Amino acid sequence: MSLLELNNVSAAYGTIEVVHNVSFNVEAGEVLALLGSNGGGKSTLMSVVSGIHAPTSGTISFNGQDVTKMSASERVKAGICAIPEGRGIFPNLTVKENLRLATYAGVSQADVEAIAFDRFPRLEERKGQLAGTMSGGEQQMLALARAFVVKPKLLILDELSMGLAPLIVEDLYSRVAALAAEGMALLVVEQFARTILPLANRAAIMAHGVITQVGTPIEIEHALSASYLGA
Amino acid sequence: MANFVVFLIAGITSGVLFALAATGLVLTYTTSGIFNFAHGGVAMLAAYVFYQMTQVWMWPTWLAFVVVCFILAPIFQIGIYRVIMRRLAGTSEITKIVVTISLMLAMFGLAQWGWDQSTLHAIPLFWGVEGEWTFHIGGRDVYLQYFQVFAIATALLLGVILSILFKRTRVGIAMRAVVDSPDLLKLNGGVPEKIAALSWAIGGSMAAVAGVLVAQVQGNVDATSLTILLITCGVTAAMIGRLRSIPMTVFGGVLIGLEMSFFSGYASLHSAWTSWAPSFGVAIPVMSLFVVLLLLPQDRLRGASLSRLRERFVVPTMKTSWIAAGSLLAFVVGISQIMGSADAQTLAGGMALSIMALSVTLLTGFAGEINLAPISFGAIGAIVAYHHGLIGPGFPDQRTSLWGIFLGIVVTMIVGAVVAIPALRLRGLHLALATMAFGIFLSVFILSFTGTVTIPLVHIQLSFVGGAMTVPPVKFLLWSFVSPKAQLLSSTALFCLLGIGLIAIRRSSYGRRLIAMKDSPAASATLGQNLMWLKISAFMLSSALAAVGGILYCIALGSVQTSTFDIMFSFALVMGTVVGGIGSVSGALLGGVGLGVGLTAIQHTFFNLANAHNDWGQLLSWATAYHLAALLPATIGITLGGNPSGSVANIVESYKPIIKDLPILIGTLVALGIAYVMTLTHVWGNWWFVFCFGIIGIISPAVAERRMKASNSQPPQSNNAQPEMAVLQ
Repeated sequence: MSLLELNNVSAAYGTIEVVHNVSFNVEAGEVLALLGSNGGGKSTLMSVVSGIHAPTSGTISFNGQDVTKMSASERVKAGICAIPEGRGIFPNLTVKENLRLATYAGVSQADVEAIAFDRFPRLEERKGQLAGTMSGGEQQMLALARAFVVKPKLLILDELSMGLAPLIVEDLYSRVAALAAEGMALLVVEQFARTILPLANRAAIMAHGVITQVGTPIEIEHALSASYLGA
Repeated sequence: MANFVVFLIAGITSGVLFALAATGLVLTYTTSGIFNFAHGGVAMLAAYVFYQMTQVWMWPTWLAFVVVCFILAPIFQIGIYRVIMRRLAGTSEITKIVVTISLMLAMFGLAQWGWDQSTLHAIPLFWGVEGEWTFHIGGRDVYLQYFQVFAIATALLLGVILSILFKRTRVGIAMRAVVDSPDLLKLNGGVPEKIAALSWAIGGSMAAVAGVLVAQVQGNVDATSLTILLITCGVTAAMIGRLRSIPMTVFGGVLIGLEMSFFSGYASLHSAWTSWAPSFGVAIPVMSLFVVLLLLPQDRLRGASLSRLRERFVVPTMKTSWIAAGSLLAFVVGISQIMGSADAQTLAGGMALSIMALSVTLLTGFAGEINLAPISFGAIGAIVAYHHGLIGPGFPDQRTSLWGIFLGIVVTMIVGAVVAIPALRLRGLHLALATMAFGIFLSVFILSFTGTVTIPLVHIQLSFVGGAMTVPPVKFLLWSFVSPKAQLLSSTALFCLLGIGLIAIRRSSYGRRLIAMKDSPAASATLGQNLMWLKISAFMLSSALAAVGGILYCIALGSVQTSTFDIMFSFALVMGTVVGGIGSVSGALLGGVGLGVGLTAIQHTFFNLANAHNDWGQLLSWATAYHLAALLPATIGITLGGNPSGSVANIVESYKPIIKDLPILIGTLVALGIAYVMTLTHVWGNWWFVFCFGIIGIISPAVAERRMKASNSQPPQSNNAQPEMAVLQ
């Protein structure tokens, strides 16, 4: 039994369907990279898995339980942690207040701060600062800190590198590698394939709302140029 | 010195109560993005219920206070959030505003239903007037009432509790987080709907506390004054806090309280200002609101909304517009033949309101600039036409000249431009509030003043001398439109022409530029559009339409008073237009006629039935139906979240099957023709025609739709059967 299973999942905005009958699975402790060009439906699919966007058809099961009708907050308690694209932080709350909201997942505030500040000492220095006034890298650190604190069974990362300098992206993905090393399953959407493929166990290409190919990172790397360039 | 201390204490007391109301408003706005105009209505209803409990049912004061403010008000507010406000996601600003305005009007209707507005509902002070400390300052006694200390202490206590809630508790932090991103809060494990419901409950409590205590300061509960006071003061304080900062909101509330207390207090001490003193009570906060809105830092020009709005408006072709206008005119000419004078006059008023509603369509529907005071612009046109356009020997032979109407239109356009210029930097909610402030200021300060007010330099009078005016019918060359039917037909013809003109504007490059400005001011500006000119011109054209409608409305009514141009009536007209469809001419027609005729007709019917059959008991009576009818438009407005494009779109859609079904179309026309002829030949009265018209209007589309569904579900026959057979073979 896989940790996450999607069976024929479709999703739409109004009457326009953007994800068509997608099926895939993520095993416990596995890192699955979902790649593809803009507008392929990757972020919508991540919203569907995290419970923000309701599917129009299909089923999603997580840890042996059907979570298709489950709300996003219930999925958090079930063990899914999603960091959405953009900055997954509350810009008008301080760093400390942002971390306080992670306690909804059932972790005490003392543990939240101890773990987050241990992993990201920079956040402790800035704990009284409004999150929106921090640099892009620091904001993503704050977003990522939630994953370390909550210790979910499945972590969904959507475009963690968006708008960040390569060095910062490298640093962030070293943290992601640490999470993977702890045995956490990861479902990662990323446009910079070379950043994520070394970490992934498997990878998939998504285009025009369907998964066109699933394979090992090496197989997918070869197929990528065709997907991006339409060759 | 003694006066200063007295005014200071009174100002701080009122101020902290305004701050309470404003804080509740900020709380609900920040957690749901909905600016709740009904907040003052909740406060007003709470004060009435408190009155009922303490003065009628004789409950102990403390018990009533706790039950009303901390049990009933939160439950009521949670109900409002869950039933109405949650459905407003994906709607435009004007829809959100209109829904909360409708809710406020519904609360007004409830108050009028529950408590006779012609009698005084006095609420004594907690601890009575004897409960006070006396100090000697400057050689005279100064009193500090226990109530004042209680009010200030309650406000401070609630402020401290809120501050702790927001800063120290997870739920308080989540309330602030909802503003940033409800979805992200979900991903953290929070439930934004529950958080928002809690904040609405707290907001309701604060409104109720403010309402009950302000009613005590005023000495009685009065629906209009209490609601207006709490709206204007609460909104001003909330805007000082930029709808974000609670400490600044509290500061704003106290500032408004002090301003009002000092201005009204010192004005009442000087004979030259005595007559103006009562008006300061409302004029000061609205003037402050206008100034605050102008000084408030505005967001940069926004681009197109990231999420698509649910409103959709179809622009008819010019050919369709001419056909629709011709049909409307022919219809009105037809029914005018079977109408009595009083009915024709009522419908003429409705048509005039529709013309005023066109001003809302142009400004808000096309240009996206929200004006909550169209009636106030109509009032200016009517007053100027009255003062400068009368010709003839005297009543009843006096007439309104075209020159007077022209002058009324020009002055209103100039006023529109004057309002637009400072409002150029305002958009959305801020502009709506600025126009509301203008409307309230005009009705409570300028129009309430019964002396002469003259615009300097041009010597144009702008006042209700004596508190009422009678605008006579129009004279155009040799024709005088004296009879109600003549007024009805001329108003309808004018509406048709202006409506066609508006559609022509919408289809022109100017109209496309207005839509572009509405959709994305940033993109519009970067394409080289002059937004300033677009805004001012839209305001001026809209003002001109409002002036024409205002003048015709006054002529249709005959005699008008200051209350005719009340801001609540403006709210109702905007609500009617949005309910009809803010982006269409037919929406304006439905809004204006619905407000001017539909409501009057339904209420009169139930009122007459109530007088004839008043023995059905309290709950199931025609009187109940009468009050429910009064709540009808507000109820329709409240449900707008389910259908933000307005009713016209639905009506047109529901009648499409008739056009495609020839037998039903012919049957409908024949049935209507028979009903019309029977009314024309006095076989039955015209109410029977209205009844038949309504019944046929409901049944025909239903039957046509049923037939269409039945024919669609039938298996294909004859020619279509061949290919199927071929496949089977």
